[in-house]
Amino acid sequence: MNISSDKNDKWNKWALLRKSHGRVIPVAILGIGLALLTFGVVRGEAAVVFTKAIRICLECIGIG
Amino acid sequence: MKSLRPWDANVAKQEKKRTIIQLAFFAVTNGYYKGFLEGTIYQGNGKVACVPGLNCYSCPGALGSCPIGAFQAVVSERGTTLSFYLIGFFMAVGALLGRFVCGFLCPFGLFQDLVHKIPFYKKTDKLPGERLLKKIKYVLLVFFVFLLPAFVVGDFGGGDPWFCKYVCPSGTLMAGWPLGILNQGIREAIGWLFAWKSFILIGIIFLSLMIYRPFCRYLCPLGAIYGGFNPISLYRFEVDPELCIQCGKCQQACQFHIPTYRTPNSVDCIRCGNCLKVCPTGALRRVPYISKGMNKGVDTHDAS
Repeated sequence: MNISSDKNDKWNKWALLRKSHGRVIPVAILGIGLALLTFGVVRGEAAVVFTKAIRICLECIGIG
Repeated sequence: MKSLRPWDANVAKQEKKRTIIQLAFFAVTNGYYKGFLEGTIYQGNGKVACVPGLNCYSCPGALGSCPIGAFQAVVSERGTTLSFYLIGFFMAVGALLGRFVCGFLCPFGLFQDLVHKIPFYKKTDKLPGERLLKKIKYVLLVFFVFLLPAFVVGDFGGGDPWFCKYVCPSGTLMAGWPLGILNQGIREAIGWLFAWKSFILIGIIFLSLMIYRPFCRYLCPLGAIYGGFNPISLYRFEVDPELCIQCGKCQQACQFHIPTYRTPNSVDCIRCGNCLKVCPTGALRRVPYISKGMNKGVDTHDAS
């Protein structure tokens, strides 16, 4: 499949402008995510999930 | 553009490998086989944790919880409108894997993949109104997963899990139908809601015969969340502009028709990896977890 030269130029421009991400952002998000997850557990949210999940969820199966 | 390439040896090999991983992950996370025999569900400590994919916690075999169901369970609780536990979970999984979860770890994704392999007289690349249809999953995420469960409450202050109750075909497939067959009490309680959810599931099955992963494309709120992490997750792709000849083979190999050479980290990409296998110059590749020097590659952020 050939792509027109206009598109080539546009794409090459993008390629030059956009540089590869480092790993700082995902690692930071991972860290914040784990911190929030831990806070949620301490707050008792995991217990709520557990209580809901060990019973047959009537809404999920379409009983209501 | 016809782009399904099961005849391409590299793609076929990759698809086979992916199916094996999907089946293995399904077997491990739904390993309470007694539930399938007795029409009951697992009630052990594993249910406190969520699995990454859309895996109903009322599936007879489920050893963990569905993150979308769990989110609704927390926000619909009296006095709670946000779940730090689940937001943290989405951030952690998203930052690590993005939509790799959809491609490799989601049981409903596996189901759609298997259905799509069935020969059908009319296979198509996309539905009319594709761009608009793709927005539905964001509407479902905002309203059915968050706002309605959190703020439409009953007399006792609790809400309903709207997405699970009125939409989720994964719950119908993995829990509703098996428990309806195996459990007499549930069979006797079946009513209009069960019929409605079965109608949605049958619709998804029919569409899956025609088009690749219709639920993931248009309706999945979990895919909408993980998709947002695709451009920044540790598991992501990049293109080396010096090597890329823009032949378009990656786009042809992609079942979602993503122009991967331009948008290797599209929010729609489920990381099946077919594009990596067909790239003739090796310009398209996975960003290594551990850097061996400066990357020359480019990963654009466009949500096409």
